[in-house]
Amino acid sequence: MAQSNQPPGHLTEQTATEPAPSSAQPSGQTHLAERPATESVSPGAHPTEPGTHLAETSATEPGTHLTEHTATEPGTHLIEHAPTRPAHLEQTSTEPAPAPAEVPAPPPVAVPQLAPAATTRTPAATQTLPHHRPVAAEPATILLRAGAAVLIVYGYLVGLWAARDDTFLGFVDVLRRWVNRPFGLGEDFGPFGVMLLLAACGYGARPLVSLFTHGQESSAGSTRQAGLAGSRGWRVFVPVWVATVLGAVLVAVGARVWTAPADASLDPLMLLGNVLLLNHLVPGVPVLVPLGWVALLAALGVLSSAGMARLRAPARWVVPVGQLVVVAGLVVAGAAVEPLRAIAVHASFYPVLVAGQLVALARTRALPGWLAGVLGMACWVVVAVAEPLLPPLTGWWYPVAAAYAGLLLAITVLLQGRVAAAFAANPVVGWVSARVWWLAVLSGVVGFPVLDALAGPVPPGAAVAIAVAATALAAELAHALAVHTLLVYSRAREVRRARDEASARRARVRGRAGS
Amino acid sequence: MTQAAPRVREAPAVPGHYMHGLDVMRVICSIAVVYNHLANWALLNKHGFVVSDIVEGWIIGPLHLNALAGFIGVGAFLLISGVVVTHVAFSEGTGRFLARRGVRLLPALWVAVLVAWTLVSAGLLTAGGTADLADLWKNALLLNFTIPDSTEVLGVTWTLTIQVVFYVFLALCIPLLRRWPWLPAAIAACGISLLLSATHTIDSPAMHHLRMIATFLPVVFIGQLVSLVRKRKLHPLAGIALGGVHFWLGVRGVLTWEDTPDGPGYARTLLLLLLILLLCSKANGRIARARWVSVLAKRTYAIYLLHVPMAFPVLKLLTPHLGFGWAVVVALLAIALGVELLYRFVEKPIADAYRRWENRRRTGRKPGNTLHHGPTVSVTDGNRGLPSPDGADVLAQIGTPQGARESR
Repeated sequence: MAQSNQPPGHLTEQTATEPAPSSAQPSGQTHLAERPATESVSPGAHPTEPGTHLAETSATEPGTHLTEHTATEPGTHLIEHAPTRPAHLEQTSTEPAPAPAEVPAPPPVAVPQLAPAATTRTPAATQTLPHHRPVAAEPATILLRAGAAVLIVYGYLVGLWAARDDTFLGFVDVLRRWVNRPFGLGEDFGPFGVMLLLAACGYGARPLVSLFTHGQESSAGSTRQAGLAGSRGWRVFVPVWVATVLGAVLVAVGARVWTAPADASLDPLMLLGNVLLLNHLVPGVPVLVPLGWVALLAALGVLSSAGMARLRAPARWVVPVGQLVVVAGLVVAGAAVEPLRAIAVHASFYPVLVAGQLVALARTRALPGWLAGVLGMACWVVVAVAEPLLPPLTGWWYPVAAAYAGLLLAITVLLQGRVAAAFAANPVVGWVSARVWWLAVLSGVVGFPVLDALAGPVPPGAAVAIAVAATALAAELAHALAVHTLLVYSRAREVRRARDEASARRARVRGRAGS
Repeated sequence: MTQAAPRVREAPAVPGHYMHGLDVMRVICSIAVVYNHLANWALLNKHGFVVSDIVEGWIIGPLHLNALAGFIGVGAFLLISGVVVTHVAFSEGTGRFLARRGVRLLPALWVAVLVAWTLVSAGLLTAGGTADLADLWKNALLLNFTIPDSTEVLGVTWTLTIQVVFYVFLALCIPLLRRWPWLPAAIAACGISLLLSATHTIDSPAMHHLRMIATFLPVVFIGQLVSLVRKRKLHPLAGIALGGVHFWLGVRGVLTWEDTPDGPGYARTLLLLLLILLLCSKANGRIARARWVSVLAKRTYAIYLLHVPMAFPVLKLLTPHLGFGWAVVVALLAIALGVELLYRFVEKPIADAYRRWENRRRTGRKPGNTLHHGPTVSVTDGNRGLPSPDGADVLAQIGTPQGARESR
C-alpha cells in the first residue's frame, strides 16, 4: 500500500469505496484500515500549531512577550502586550537586571481582554507577574489541540507502524472494527487529528482579530499583532525544522524513520527542500517529515488571519471566502493538471482551517452566526468536491472526518464553560496541547525508529508504549530547548535595547550639561 | 428600626430553558423523513427525482450516510425525545408522566391509523397485504409488529414503539432518576445488552421487533444523557462514559445483525446527529426563534404520522397523469392539509382539554374558577407547543411560566 499517490495519511486499503456496509457485518471481516499507505501519504503532516506551545515563552518578536507559565497553570495563557520590558527578565533571568535608573519604566499599556471568562481564573502567575494580565486561554483551543495530538500520535505512530510492519495489535484492531470503520474515520484517526489541529489553528485567529476589535487599531496594536503572528509562525516551523534535521541524521545512520517514500535517500538538495517544506509541493520528491505539509497550511492560516484582522470588521468575511475560492480553484486545477495535484491534495485540507477562522469571526461578532454557518458548509463542500476530483483522495472518506472536525470545533467553542476549563486546566491536557506540534512531527522521527528497534525483542504492546514515551520525552526536551533558546534570545535583545536607551539618555544628559 | 424585608419567593432557576434550536432540528428532520419516503417511492416506482439526485450526490454520498437519508429523521427524533422527555421527568410523577404522554401520542395515532387502514382497505395504500378489522386495533395498539400475520397499515410507527418503551421505562425510573440520575441509563445499558444477546437469533416477528428496539433504544438514552449533563445532574465525564456505552451498544446491535434497517450508516448518522443536536442546543438566533419554525416544529408529530397515508395515494393516482414532479407538489399539499387538520382538530384540542381537566383537578375548583383559563397550549405561541412524540412539547411547557409553575 502506500503508494506515493496516496492521500494524506496512510489510509489503507480500503475504507472508501466500500465503506460502511461491510463494517456492519457481524463476522467482523470488515476492517478499516488495515493500513495502508503509509509512506505515500505525505500530506498528513501538521506541524506546529501557531498559537500554541512556544507561545508560552518569550516571544521572538520584540514587541511581544509571552511568559512561560504553562507549568504552573496549563490552562492559562498570559496575554501578550507590548511592554518595553519583558516580565521574564525579572523572573527567570540569571543575569542581573539593568539598574532601575538606567531602564525606563514601561509605560502603561492597555491590555485587551481576549476572553471575558478569562478573568475569572487567576492562576498563580498572577502574583509572580503582576503586570502581565493572565487570562485563561480558550479551553476549546487547548482541548482541541490536545485531542489532535493524541489522535495524530496514535494514527501516525501506532496505527501506521502496525500497518507498515504488518503487526497485529489487539487494541488497534478493536478500535478499527468498532470505531474507525463504523464511524468512517480511516487511517486510525490520523487525518481526523490533523483536521482537528487545523481547525484549532484557524480558530487561533481569534486573538489576532480581537486585537482589532477592542480598540487596538493603533500602531501599537499592529506591532502586537505582527508579533503575535510572527511568534505563531515560528512555533509552527521550528518543530518541523528540528524534526527534519533530526530525521536526516537518523536516516544517515540507518535508522528507520517514517519518510515518504519509506526508502527516501538523503542528499543536501533534498534536505534543503525538506527544511524549506518545498518537497511537499512537488510530486514524487522524498519527504523526511511527511506531516510537514500541515505546517505550511498552518502558517498560511496565521498569515491570512493576520491579514483578516487588519480589515474592518464588516469586510473580514472576504478573507475566508477568498481563501475558499483559491482552494476550490486549486482543487479544480489539480484535477486537470498533474503537477499541481500534490498542492491541490494538501490544499483540500485547508477549508477546515478556514472553518476555524469562521468560528473565530463569529465568536468576535465580526460575522453573523448564520453567515458563518453557510460559509462553514461551503468549506465542507470544497472538501467533498475534492474527494472525487483528486484521485489520491478518492476513497478515503475525508469529507466525513471534515464534517466531524468542523462540528466538533463549533461545539467545543460554543459549549466551553466551567467544565471545559477544568478539563483544559488539567496538567496533562495542557502539556499535550502545548507540545502538539512537537508530538506530531517527532512521532515519525523518534517514535518510528524506537518502535522499529524494539519490535523484535520486546512485545509489540510494550514497544508501542516505549515508543510513545520516547516521543513524548523528545517532545518535552525539544520544547524545553526551544523555550530556553527563545528566552535567552529575547533576554539578550531586551538587555541590549535597555543599554542602548540608557546610553542615549546619558548622551542627552551630557549634551544638556555641556550646553 | 429595621423593617422586615418582604419575603420574595424567587422562582427556582430552570436550567433547561427552552431550546429553540431543537425546533430547527425537528423541522429539518421531519423534512428528512418526508424526503426519505418520497424518494423511496420514486425509486421503487422507477421515477426520476431531481431532489433525490442532488441530495444523494452532494450530501449523502460524501458523508457516506444511508441511502435516501435513512435514519436521519428517526435518529434525530429519538435523540430529541430523550433530551426533552428526560427534562420533564424531573417535574412529573409517574402517573402524570404516562398520562400526558399517552394523551399526547395516542389520539393522533389512532386517527392516523384509521386513515391509513381505510386507504389500505380501499387499495390506495400498499401495506404488504390486506387489512381486516383485527389489523385496525393491532395497529392502533402498536401490536402489529409483534403479532404474526399482521398487516402494518402505518409502517412508520415502528419508531413509536421505541419511544413507548422508553417512556414506560423512564416513568418507572423517575424516583431513581431524581436521586441517582445516572442509574436509569446504566440499568438501561445492562438491559439493552442482555436484549441484544437474547435476540441474536431472530426467528419471529416479535423477536425481530425486539431486536429493532434494542438496537435503536440507545439513541434515546444518549439524548437522555445529553439532557442530564445539560441540567448539571450528571458530570460530563460520567455522561460521556455512559454515552459511549450506549453508542457502543447501538453499534454492536448493527454490527451483529446484518438486516438492521439503515444499519450501514447508523454510527456515522448518529454521531453527526449528536453533534448537530449539541450545536442546536445553543442556537437561539432569529432563525431558531422564527415563527414558521415554531409552527412547523409543533406539527412534526402529525407530519410523521400522516405523510405516508397522505402522499402515497396522491402519488399513485396522479403520477400517471401529471408526472412525478407535479404529483409530488400535490402530495406535499395533501400532507400539509392532513397535518393541519390532525393538529388543529385532534392533537391540540385533546391536549388542551386534558390540561384543563388536569388544572381543574389540581385546583379543586369549577371550570369557571380555575386560576388558569384557556388552553395550556397555543397554536400560535412558539414556546408552548403541544407535546410531541419526541417530547419537545414538554420542554416547551417547562420553559414557560406556566410550565415552571407546574413543575414546582
